[in-house]
Amino acid sequence: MALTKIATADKIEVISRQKEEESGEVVEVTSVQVRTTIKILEDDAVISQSYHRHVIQSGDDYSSEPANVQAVCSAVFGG
Amino acid sequence: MSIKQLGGIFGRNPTFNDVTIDGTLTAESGVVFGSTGGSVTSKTLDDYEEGTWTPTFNSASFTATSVSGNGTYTRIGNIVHVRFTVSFIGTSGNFAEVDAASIGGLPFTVASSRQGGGTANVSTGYLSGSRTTWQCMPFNASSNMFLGCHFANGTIARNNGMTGEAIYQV
Repeated sequence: MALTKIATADKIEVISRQKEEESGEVVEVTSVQVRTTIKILEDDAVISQSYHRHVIQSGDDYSSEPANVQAVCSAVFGG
Repeated sequence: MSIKQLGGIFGRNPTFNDVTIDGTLTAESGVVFGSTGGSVTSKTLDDYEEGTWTPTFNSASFTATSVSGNGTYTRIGNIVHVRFTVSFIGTSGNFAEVDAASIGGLPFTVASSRQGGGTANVSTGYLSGSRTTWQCMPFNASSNMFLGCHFANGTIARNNGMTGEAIYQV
């Protein structure tokens, strides 16, 4: 019996919302929404699964994110 | 999975009076309630999800030590309900009415609004006999999304941390 834990960023969404500043100016706010699926496998069979979420915004350090998340962040935020 | 037909007729567009499903139902595009007619987006439940998130803590009013947090969320359609606990055991002093704090790490982007995107109910003192509250709102600033909080009143040690819930639109 071998237990394995796998965490995969399986849903990456680019979210854009309009925000009204106190000055009345309307600005576009873009963020990257990431869902990480955590699976526990026993002999390659999934016996448990859960989700963990976080949001990345402009200026956040995303260097420790998985490669697929970094690619989206680079495209959205530049850099 | 099996579908037990208790009424109606199977056909190209079958109508079922009652349906029993032994197992789970997967609706990849959502579930439309009631008569459709026109745009159905406002009648479509297209998202449901439960999970965890990791709240972060920041305050310009005082320095918190040994910060740790955990949280859960439930999303139903475009509404998100979050619960969380943030601990900073070992932080010195008492909370003061000038104390401000922000809880970051929210699991979904808050709908942008000048006045914030929802409501929150946050308290302090779950470790002690005396409890007091914070006044908080979910915000989506240009580069920082958080629950913005101000300590309401009372005297309580900062090492009690914060616990609470919030509901906001996405």
